Amino acid sequence: MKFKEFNTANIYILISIVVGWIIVAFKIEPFLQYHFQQIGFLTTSNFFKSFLSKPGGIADYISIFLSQFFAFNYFGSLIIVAIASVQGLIILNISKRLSKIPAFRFLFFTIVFLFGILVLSDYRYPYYASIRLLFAFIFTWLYTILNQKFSKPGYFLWPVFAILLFYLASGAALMVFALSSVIVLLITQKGTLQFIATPLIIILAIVIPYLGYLFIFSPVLPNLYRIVEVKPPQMLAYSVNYELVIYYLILPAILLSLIFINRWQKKEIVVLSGKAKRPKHINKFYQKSTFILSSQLVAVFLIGFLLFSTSFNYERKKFVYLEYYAETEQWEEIVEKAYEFEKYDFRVNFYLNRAYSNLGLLPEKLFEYPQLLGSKGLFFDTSLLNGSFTMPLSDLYFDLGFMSEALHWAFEAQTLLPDSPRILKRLVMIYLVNENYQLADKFLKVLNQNALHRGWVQKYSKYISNPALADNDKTIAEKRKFSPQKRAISTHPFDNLKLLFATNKKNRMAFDYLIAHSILDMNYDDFIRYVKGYRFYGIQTLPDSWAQMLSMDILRNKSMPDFADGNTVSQDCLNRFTELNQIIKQYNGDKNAAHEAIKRNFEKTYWYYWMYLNPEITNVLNNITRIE
Amino acid sequence: MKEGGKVWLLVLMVVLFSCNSEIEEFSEIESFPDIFPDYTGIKIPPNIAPLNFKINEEGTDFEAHFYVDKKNPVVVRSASPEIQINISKWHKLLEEGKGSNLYIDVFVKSEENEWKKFQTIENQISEEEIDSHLAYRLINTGYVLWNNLGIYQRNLETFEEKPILENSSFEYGCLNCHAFANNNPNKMMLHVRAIHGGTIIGNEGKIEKVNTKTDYTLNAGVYPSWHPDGKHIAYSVNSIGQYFCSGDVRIEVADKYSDLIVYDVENKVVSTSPKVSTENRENLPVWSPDGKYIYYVSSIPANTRDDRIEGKYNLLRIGFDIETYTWGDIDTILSSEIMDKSISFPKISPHGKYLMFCTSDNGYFTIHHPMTDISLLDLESGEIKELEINSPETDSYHSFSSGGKWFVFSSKRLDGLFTRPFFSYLDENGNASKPFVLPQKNPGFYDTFIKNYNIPELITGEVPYSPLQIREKVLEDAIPSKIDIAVDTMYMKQHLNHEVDYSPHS
Repeated sequence: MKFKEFNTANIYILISIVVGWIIVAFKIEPFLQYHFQQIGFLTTSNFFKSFLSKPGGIADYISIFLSQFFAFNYFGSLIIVAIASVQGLIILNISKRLSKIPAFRFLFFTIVFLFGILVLSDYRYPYYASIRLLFAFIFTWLYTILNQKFSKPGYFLWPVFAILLFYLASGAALMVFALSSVIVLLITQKGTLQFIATPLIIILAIVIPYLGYLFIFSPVLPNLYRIVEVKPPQMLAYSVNYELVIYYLILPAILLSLIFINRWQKKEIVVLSGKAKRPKHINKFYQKSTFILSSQLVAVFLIGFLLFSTSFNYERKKFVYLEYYAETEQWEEIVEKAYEFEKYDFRVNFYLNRAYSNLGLLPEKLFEYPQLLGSKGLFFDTSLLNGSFTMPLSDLYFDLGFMSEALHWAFEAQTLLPDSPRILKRLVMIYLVNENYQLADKFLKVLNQNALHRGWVQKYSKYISNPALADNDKTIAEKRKFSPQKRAISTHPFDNLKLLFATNKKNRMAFDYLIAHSILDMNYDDFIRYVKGYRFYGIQTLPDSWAQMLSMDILRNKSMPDFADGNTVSQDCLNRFTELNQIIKQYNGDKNAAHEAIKRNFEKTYWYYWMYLNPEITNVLNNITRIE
Repeated sequence: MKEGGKVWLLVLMVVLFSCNSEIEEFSEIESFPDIFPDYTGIKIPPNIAPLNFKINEEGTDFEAHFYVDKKNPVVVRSASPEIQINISKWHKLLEEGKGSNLYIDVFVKSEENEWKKFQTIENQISEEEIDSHLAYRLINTGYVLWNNLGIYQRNLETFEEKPILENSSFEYGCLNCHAFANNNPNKMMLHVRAIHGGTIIGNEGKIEKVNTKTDYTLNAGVYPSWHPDGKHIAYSVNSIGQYFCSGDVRIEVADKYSDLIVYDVENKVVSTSPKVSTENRENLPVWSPDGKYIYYVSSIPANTRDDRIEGKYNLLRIGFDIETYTWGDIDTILSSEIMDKSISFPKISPHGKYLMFCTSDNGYFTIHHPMTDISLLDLESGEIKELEINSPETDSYHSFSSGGKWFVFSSKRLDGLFTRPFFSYLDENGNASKPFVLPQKNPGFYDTFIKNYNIPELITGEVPYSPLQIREKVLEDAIPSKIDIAVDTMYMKQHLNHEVDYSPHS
């Protein structure tokens, strides 16, 4: 019977772990966490030392070490599941030690396990919160064993445990430990001492971080009590949600439940006092343990499903995917993903423009997605955003071949995330393009301290010792041709595009962006100035967005520009333009009245943008607030 | 091993070095070893930390002999090219060799098991010590954003670095412009910006947070200089902007307006004058060692962005009587027109003989200017010379040791990007020795260190205020300041509102 009970419980635990791993690996996908947070773990002693000066630093160090493996989705999932399982197994063991009733142990395990996974639904989740909590679990477990074996030393060793835990895992973990150990004392100890110790432990858990703040550690006081510290960069700022709070309260809550379970058991025995045997209904209860376990399993899966469905932000995941595709230059996937968003998003707008441009489709597809921000959908408006724009801007300028700006934004990004492998790689590439091998080598050496990227380092280190390899690298060679000799940084992207075009007319991407910028700004003068050179790119008939803008210019000036001929604007475009004018006439020039009719057929055209969508009409830019 | 261009003198010798060295036979190479950092032909203070270095020569074993007297070398043997010297042996060696030469013999063992000795490196050990500590800010290379930053102090006699204040202790605000009175760590100040803003002043054991802004001055104090009496600080008050540009200088920091004030540390009183609150942009004040004058730079008014960036600064001087708070007359010391350069960061040697300053093509915020160099003005003879220490990269902010012989300056010469502190010795004739970079325990430190050393200031000891004490004050409200009753407040109000006819004062 016991053996069967043991096996059923363990099989269910194993099932939970496997299901958990599947959910993490295929639903949460920790590699997205890795890319979003740009996790960088360095193997140097200085990197380690930088964690020693603050409470919780050791847990943070371990968490960065572990979470770097999130880069490998399945292995990362295994780590997440393993840590959550260890927490579950600890609680299982503690409950075995403190209660003889096994009925809810599986539930205890799965609840902890479930929340250990659930908290990762937010891609900004700092994994150190899980590791810090793991320390609290381990300390509670050790303290339980200590209390079972020795009575008095348990009281006196608590401050030692507490101080050590505070240093390793900071104040929130200490509070979990304090609450848990109070309950452990209530269960394991008898006499008046526990009533004195209980408030003392809670007071100490509050006082220790404060004393640490006053006399030893420099971080701000609230951070010593918080589950998640408030610190830059803002783009990774995580808001503590109810799942995380519950995750932190589970251990004391379960221990508290053991008190009631134990009392219930005692009560039953008292009622049937004098009989040595277990009461019949309790016996039946045990006989039905497989059923109870199965019920728990089903319940946990249902709860898990419910919690996961409510807390998992699919939109955010899509956005993280979008950034990941942009980082890894998977342009077609960006296009596919972008249209999965239900609402307009300026970041989707930005990435889609970049993807279309890299696919050579920007002129044709410019208005496939609503360009609500006008030209600010091509380049992020840096005055309105936090640091999250830095790397995307650096990437875009690198695509365009503008090394000064790519460098500018890479350094801003590196200031926020100094150890990010992605940023370090970008810096290496920029300096290789700039033929500054000394600095390329420097950033390679920094990146070489990250064990996961040594292959990449090896590849590009050869470029340092043999610059001919860099000369023959297709990307580097192209960027060298396109990058302006005049080093410049400008707050006006249009100036940068003009400089790029002036540097090398063959830079088709710069040309497309330059034209797109003019179109979105409805800047006819610059549009005409640049578009007239379209034949240089082997174009006979202008792509849709250009042709639509040109048709408007012809209408405005009542004349054909001298560079245009019969092929410049397609017949289809002319027909559609005529059709548009007819609709407007039907509504006697009343734009508002004609809106729906025009939208039906012309929503994805420059004409619609000009009439209804551009920021001058919508006034959208005046209603934007800074992203925090 | 570098082969090209080297002449081999194959000398088989039996040498009797110290018992530590096992090299008995070696061939001699007639060139200096390639070592990093470059510690060849330099003059060093007798109290500097060991000059650990890396030998950039191919080999399987490495040995370096450091000696003043050849009979008693300090021998360092290493299987790696990194030479790390025992700190106590090093200090003993330097103490014994004060005023003498320090020789370094570098040996490299080839794969054929043959030792090669490079030409002996000859350095000088000065009689004069350098101040024991260096204070600096460590920042990343970002132009606008910041994250973790702090002001630190490094013991120059060892490798110990400690924070003076890190921004993680006050919600990641900004920190800048640390300054000390007469290199005294007991009298220090620094600014806190963005969050919990104010000026922290540590004065003989007491720390305060003050707000040096008054209703009659442009802004709170920015660029500081302590009066030699340790009771007053001259500040510029600036309206600063950051501009992106084209060319070698891709970012400019320039002022729209700036004036000067003197702050009374004990009485929290601000003094200024129409003479230093003009339409011109007065900036970067520094006291003369006798405390009677404020040297500062000044540029013509800037109405446009380009004016602000392109404007050149002259070096001026104004008298100030610390007893009566009387502002004296203005003298022009150096004209940017004559120099055809903009002058910035004047610093006067403690004995008052030399004024060291930066020159650049325009503006005053020189750290982003690759062409910035350091020059020396002999205040007695009026002679100006560009110092020998300059490099093709930025050579900028400098600070004298309290003895006046040693100075530190910022330079990007190692890689053109990151600012590092370099030290040099200035002799009686104004000749500066070949500079050397701040020594590090790990000779490969600079290969992977990607923060900048900003505003290096030499101090005579460790700052006695702990980061926790300073943090406590940072989190407090700042003590307000009063304007000195002698200040022409009506003028200052009009000045701030740009309603002044400046011609009588400018």
